[in-house]
Amino acid sequence: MSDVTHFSKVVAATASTLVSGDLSQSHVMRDISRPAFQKRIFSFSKRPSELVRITSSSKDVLLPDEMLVDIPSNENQFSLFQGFQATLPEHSVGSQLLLGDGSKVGEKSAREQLVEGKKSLSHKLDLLEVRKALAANEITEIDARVAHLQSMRQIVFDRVASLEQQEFQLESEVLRIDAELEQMEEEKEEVIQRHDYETRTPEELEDDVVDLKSVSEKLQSASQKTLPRRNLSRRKTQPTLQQYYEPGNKIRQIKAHSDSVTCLDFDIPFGTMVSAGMDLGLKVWDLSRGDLVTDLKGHNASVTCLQVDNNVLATGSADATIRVWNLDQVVSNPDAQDEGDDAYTIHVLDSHVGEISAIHFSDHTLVSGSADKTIRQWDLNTGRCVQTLDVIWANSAQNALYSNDRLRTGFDANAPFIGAVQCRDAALATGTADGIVRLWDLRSGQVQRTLQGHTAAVTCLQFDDVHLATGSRDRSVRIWDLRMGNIFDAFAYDSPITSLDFDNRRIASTNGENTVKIYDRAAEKHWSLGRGEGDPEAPESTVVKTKEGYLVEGGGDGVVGVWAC
Amino acid sequence: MKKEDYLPNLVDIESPLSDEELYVLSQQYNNEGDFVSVQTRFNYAWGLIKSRKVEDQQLGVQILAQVYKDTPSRRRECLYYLAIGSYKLGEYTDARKYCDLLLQIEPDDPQSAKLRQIIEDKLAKEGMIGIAIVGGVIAVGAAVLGAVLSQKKR
Repeated sequence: MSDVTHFSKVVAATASTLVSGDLSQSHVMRDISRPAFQKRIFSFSKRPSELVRITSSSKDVLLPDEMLVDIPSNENQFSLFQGFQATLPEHSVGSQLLLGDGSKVGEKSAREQLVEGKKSLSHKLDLLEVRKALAANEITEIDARVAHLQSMRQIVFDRVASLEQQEFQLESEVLRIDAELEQMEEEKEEVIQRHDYETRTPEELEDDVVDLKSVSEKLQSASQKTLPRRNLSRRKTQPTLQQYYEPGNKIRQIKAHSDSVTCLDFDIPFGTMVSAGMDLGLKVWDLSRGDLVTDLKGHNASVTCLQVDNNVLATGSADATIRVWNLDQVVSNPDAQDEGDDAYTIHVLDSHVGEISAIHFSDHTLVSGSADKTIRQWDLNTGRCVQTLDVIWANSAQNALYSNDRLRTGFDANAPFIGAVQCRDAALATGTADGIVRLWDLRSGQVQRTLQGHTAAVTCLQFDDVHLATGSRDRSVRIWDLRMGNIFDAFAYDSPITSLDFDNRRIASTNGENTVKIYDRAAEKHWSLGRGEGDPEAPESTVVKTKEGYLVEGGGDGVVGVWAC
Repeated sequence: MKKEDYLPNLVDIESPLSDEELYVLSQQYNNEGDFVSVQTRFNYAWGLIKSRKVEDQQLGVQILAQVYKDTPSRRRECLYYLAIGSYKLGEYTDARKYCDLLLQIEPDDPQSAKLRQIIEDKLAKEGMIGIAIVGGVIAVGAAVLGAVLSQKKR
């Protein structure tokens, strides 16, 4: 429509210039003296009636001459006009057919009527044929468009990927500079302190012997390894590329270990992943490139559980120790380990007397569960054990009705005694081999609530603000309402659950089968992804972690798969 | 379908659709949004070209030109309708250009030849009027020129 208004405006403009007095006359004169204009008037290519209209509209040429070259021969089954005829409402076509012989209807013989009827039927048949062809054509057109859009999507997808890569690099550069600034600040303080000390008189010095000690202590503690202060929440950007993959599609596959993957975790999508395997390896990976960053050495046995959070890595091992690592150091300086074994180690926590089966940390508190049937709480600032919780003692004190025999033996000898732990502030949740989930108060060291329902060992557990999800060897996943303490949702698979991870949108779990089971919480739909989809011979998935639609899964053959979900 | 149905009869050009029919076509055209199909575009464009309103014809030709650009396999057909549209708009140069192109590809096509003939007839008629108008303009121009010059001489 805007074209039409534009057109009318142009017409009005030309008219007014023609009408309005002297100025237009001189204008016309000037034009006439131009050879181009003369040519236009005197050549008969353009007629005057055209001149009036064309001067306005033909300025935007509809079809430039170069478009008029490539005219392929017509191979369409039906012409556009036939399509047009077929699209028009039936009555207008039908009335056309009857035109001319409408007056003679009465005089027609039976035979003629039949012939007429046949004619009209075959005409209708023709129309149907055209309409069918039209619809088929439309499908072809849509297919072509879909293909085109797909290729466009691929281009834009690649663009997002490369932009995100750039973001990532800039972001790490910013973080590095931040760290350097902090370092300089600390050094400056030191210099000031020393300066203060050097400018003092001998008398003052004597008085300050005690001070001197405290200063040297301070310096020592400053040089000691502390938790990296850098926080991922400082990041300005978050990777979102995984959202644009088709759910269930593989993003990457890494041959991480020579034997089954026992545990893994990562910080952010396309960030840093740490994996451990039965081959005793503990490896750090760059997920965006799929490269090995380094192989961490320190544990004397296989790592059974680990967690990555805010550049801190905690690992629990079958050698009964827990190590806390500065993951930031590992990533920024992957070769430092060659200089000394403890280059990245912040703490070694070695009070447990049995294999570590579960750990979890949040802020400066780490809790660990061990085969020695105790749970220990550690302060990550000092590296000291704050308290020890004895599950059996707590159970007998709290719940005499419940048999301790079952606890001692467990339902299942294969499952670790303490299958899973998670803490937040003063709250602690544990899942144990007796199938009971306990909620503890870390301040009192008492069990606040027990959640009973699982009929076999609890192997994995995770809670958020509202819900607690547990997976068990009884093949079921249960979602508990933390406030009410009752079951919110539950579902079962075909084999014992080995690991579980959930966010607001989905619960991902592995159960010793070769696919990862996903439960879409919003759509309440179950589906699965993994190598087992389409390949029944694929090895089983042993562990899974997921964040924001980005899922990492470890397999029984040591392969780590990264998927979109 | 019969061969003669392949292209519209030239008499058809001057028989506009009813408002309702055109409305249906425009509705369909608008409803299909960004991904409107070639057939729908053609239907609407042809409906518009058959109309008696110049605005409609303009829009129709524009849509047709777009179809021509987008779908090479329909170009040959589009040329015919573009020729008709341009003819109805009075843009005879374009109409003739399209027609000549058609005849170049398919010299024996009776429909194109017929259309070409109609355009030529119209051109000849307009030419006579045109010469008259141009003559008039030149006469007025000369008069004005004379007046200006004679004024200057004084």
